Amino acid sequence: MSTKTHFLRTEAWLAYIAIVLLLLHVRLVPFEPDAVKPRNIFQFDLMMTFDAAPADTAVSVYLPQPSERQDVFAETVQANHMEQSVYTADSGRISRWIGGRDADSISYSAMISSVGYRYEIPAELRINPDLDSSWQPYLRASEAIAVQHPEIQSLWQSISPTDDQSVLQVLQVIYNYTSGLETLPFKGLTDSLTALRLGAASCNGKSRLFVSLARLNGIPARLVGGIVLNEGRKKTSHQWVEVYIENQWVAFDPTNRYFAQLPSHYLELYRGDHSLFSHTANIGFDYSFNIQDQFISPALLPHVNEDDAGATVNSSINLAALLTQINMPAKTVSIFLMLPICALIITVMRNLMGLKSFGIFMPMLIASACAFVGLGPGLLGFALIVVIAFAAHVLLHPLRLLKIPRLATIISVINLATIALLYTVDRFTDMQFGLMSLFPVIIISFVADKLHDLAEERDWLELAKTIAGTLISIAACYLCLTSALLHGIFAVYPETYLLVLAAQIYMGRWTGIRVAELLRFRNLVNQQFGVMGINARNRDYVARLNSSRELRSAADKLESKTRLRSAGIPVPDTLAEFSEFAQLEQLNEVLSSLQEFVIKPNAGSQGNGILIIKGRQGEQFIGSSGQSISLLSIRRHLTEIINGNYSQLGDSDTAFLEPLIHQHPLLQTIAPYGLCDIRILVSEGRILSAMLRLPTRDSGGKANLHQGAIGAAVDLQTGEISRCQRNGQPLARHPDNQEPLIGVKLPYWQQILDISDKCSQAIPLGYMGIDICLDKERGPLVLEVNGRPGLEIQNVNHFGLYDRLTISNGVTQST
Amino acid sequence: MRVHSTWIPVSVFFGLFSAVGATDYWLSQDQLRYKQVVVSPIDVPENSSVVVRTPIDQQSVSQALYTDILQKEHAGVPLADQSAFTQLPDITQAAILDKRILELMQNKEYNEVIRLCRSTHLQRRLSAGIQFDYALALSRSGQHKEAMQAYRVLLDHQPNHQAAAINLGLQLLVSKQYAEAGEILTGAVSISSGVRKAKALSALASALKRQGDWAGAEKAYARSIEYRPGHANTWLKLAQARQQLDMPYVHTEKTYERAVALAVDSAAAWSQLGRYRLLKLDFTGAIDALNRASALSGRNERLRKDLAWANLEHGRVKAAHGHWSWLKRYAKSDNDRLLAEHMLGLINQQQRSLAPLPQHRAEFRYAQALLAGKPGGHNNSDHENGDHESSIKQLQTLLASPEWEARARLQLARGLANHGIETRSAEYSNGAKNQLFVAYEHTVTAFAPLLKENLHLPEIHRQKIEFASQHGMLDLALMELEESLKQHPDSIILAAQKIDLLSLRQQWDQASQYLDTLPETMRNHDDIARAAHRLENRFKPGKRHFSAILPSVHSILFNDASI
Repeated sequence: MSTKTHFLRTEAWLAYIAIVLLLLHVRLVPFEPDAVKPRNIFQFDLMMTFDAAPADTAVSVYLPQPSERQDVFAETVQANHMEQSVYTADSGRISRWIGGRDADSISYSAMISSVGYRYEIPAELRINPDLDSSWQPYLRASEAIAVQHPEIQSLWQSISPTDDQSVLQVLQVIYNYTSGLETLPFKGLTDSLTALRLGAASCNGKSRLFVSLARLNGIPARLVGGIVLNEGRKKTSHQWVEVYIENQWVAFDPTNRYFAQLPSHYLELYRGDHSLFSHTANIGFDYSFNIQDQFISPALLPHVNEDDAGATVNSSINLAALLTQINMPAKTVSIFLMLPICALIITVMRNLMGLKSFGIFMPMLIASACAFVGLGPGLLGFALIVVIAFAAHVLLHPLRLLKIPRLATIISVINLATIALLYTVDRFTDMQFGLMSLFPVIIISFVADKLHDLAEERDWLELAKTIAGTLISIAACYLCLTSALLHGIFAVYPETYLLVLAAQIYMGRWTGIRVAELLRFRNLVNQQFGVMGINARNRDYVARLNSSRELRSAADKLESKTRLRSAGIPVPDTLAEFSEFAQLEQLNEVLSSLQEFVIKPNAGSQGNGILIIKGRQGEQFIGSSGQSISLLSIRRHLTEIINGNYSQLGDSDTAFLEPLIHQHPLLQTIAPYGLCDIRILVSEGRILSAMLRLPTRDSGGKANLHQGAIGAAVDLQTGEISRCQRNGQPLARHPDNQEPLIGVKLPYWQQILDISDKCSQAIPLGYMGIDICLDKERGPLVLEVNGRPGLEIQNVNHFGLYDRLTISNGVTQST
Repeated sequence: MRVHSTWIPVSVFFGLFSAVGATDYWLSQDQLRYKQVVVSPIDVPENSSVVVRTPIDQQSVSQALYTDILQKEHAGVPLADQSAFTQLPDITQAAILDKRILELMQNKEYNEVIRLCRSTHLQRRLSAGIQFDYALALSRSGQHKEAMQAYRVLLDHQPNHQAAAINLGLQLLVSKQYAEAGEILTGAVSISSGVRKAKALSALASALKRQGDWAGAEKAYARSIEYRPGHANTWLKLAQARQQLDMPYVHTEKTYERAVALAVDSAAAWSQLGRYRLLKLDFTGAIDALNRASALSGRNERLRKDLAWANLEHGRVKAAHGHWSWLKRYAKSDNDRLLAEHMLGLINQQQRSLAPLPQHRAEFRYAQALLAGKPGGHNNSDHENGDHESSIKQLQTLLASPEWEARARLQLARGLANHGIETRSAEYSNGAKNQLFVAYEHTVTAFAPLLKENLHLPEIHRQKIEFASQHGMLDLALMELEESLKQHPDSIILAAQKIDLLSLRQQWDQASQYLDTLPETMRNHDDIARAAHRLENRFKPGKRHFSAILPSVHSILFNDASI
């Protein structure tokens, strides 16, 4: 594709439009980093409980107050049977509730955003001896803060600095002494003298002693009370000190060792030597704080874009605000905004990386649930539910339930088991397992179905790859869903969705080789052969050359057989068909005359659901491995096929019987454990490639390369086997009987090529794989036609299909 | 090339993904950065306080009406019979009752309170909130049973009444119903907060203590302190509990120290600290504390005796002599005066005919052991070399005595070491050096068990080192001393011992240098000051050279040859 064409493509246009809109947006509304830049927000919940008093119950508490340093928004209060009044005092913002006998709890929550402050105290600053009387409250002694006490004075004499008029030196010495006191977990009030005498105190004792010493030196000081916003549940508040220097109250915390600084996770509630709570006596008052730390985009905050008067201060669009206006919770909004990006991630994971997962977009759903409970608990919950579903599968398997009822039963079992598990785990852990009820339990039941199938097939490598791919996809989606930066960008600049759309369209057109295929076809890729990947196959060949109607038709083996037979192409006979359960009543009659036969599902694939009967002993039939099979077992198998258990389309299916094919002696000699087949790859009437698939014991008699069958490259000119490999390893002899394989010439080769040519005309698939077997009596028979033939033929032939397309340009291969 | 066409979108995707992830992470860390604040003028006055209105308004009661009602009540007309009273609203009646009760309680007219409350119906008492005062008045007037019942009635009505629960518990304690007190006070703890919780916990600890649950009491006292850290008495009781439980010495001593820090003027606190230290062989610490107690309490025979023993054990013979002399004159009991005489004889190394000490008290048996160990001892003139075996037997009987066990073990250790050295002397055949090592081994073996005990270990080390140096093991003693000082760098007695040992080895410069390295607080201590004084005396020519180690009861007892 030329560069000019590149720049004129749809996705390119979308990108141009997006960029133009972005530039316009930024020009009209200046870019404000704070509108996009995420910040730490603390969800602060205060729960107070009490028993009602005989008379009125009153409770007062200091609530967070907005200031230059801290922002408070999204406040909610719930206090049934109580009246609230809020007023602002010099000490802080006080809320008082008064209620009657029915009052028993008050809950308050708010979101807090605060900034850390670091103060610079000039070294040359001197203590001001001429403070006026208005500073007396911050210089004199109080009940719990001794100032001119002999012990305080004696202490000061022992620790005072060389320059006792330097503010910085004095405060440093006071800080060093008080922060050096042993910290003991006192919960009650400790006055400054007690702290001094004990040589130990908690935060309030150390802070009071700090204030004592500061006041002794003529520096105004006060206590400040609040909460340290550490994530989790707690019952302790905290006290620190503020000292008035020049024109500023400067914070010190001798307990947690902050000198002239206050971190952003300190929530200030009151100033002065007060109690955080006051309440009517004898009401069994109890309280707790619950704090959650969130890194959140400002776009998701409820008060953004409004000033105090409610007027919009930033006129840019905010998608999140629009969604919250319709009462969508903030968390749900964030997930909603990110869904397109998650879809793009899934596309990348599958089509670019080649990762397989259980369900295409299922990881996105799981990641959405994880966004509520956390990645760790989410993955754990997902794993638990999968295990429960798998266990249910295993337990129900002997009952041989039909597919839909089986899935419905599993969903019910998962539901009940999950309820029990969530309740049990929630009692013993702090994890919010209850939120796991958001998990798409139904979807997960399908995951378990697929998991069970893989486990039954013992395809452990495939299982491991699928699990890994699923987990990686979940993790990638989770990181995207929880990216506060992306929330902000997409909420405030919704035109960026056009870029996402452009990327999705680009990925939809992209036909490059997936990363996983680079590994799969590493030998060919390294040698720079033109390897065709699945993306190219699906888009450039299957989607272009095969209509969906014809693909469905090709998947219907009976219909294909009819069309091929009509075109004079030899196919195995059809002995009987069963498309409804009622028809199974005639099974005995149908089988009475048959000694050997094969049962196949009409819409099956990869050899699944095929049952081979090689003979009969009285009422019992003999299977391909010599095992005894009863009529009842055969009936059950037919039931499963009709139920759609093996159907590619997921619907109910038809089971049909064919005669058992006895393959050509040459092939029987080299591969005695199953029916070999020849895969011919045809594109637009041209034969591109051919390979012989030889079953082995490891493949269970199936000619399935992924299950251990041998792939043998067949020379199109001569029909000779030129190379063989199994599981990527080359070999020259069959591993089961050591028969040499290289150089074996396939019988009926020209006939095979002619049949392939006729098939491509009989069935209007532009790109197809034709499976042919060699019957001992009848010669080549077409088993089926595949509208999406696999690409392993490239590895077998050691030749990329693109190069074959170049070589065989418009010429049908013939001997 | 097709392969390259894969890596381009892969790189772009991972690049973007990583960039977003890295930016997210970096921004989250960015939140920890601070805003630098430039000091600038602000206008907030910040100098007036706002009084928060109390949530419940008091009902105003007319003074004239109140006085009239009271007068009639005094004249014998019960309130229930006064129409002026009964016609008032319920809430006003409650306010009048409350006001009156308050006045009476303030004036400590408890009987009046009881009378008034009894004339008021129970429901009225409960609704007026005076049932608590009623119960309190009953308890203060000595009617404990009735008080308990009144508290119970109140708690039935108001289960969360903290003060009532606490007081009921206290009443049960007074009545020696400890188990029930424990239950009630456990409930009081759960409903109380702040200082009340501390009181409830303290009372609960008392109840547990009375039932022999010292571990529970210790926990309760410790919790009580969390809510009332400045309460000296609770610290003291906690220390006593810890002592009873034989908790680690350092921890328990610290608890006592905190108690005395909060009650510097309490002789009882200082004396308890002193006794504990004496018990744990911290003689110098005991002397310090007991001296403080003595200064606060004046003449106190118990203190004197403790000081007498502490000084004697520590080797402060002169001070010991002074205290025993006082006891000889002023002790109340004859036996104590006799004891003092014996001790004075021991100190003066005089043989005197005195009556034997009785054996019923461990203290006397300990004294007897000391006396018996002295050569030509007081009690048995037939033994010219001292009756060591008799002494050892006496000491062994003291191992069952909590107060004397440690000192007895210390004496026994010295005896064992000495005995080992003496009886093994025949095996010293390979020269002096080997002889010393063998002697040192005996010393270590004898004192080793003591070093595992919950005692003031510096003293054990000091005794061991003293013993070693007395037997000529100066190098080994110094080596041992250095090791001990590493473990106990703040030990005054070990520091003093080092000064003495260095000067005994005539390493005066080193001794002086070491003295100079000590912090001022240590240098100011008596023991260090004395050691420094001795160092100075030895260093000056013409001065009499005293022994490096002060004569102590141990050297007197065992007649150590090196002295």
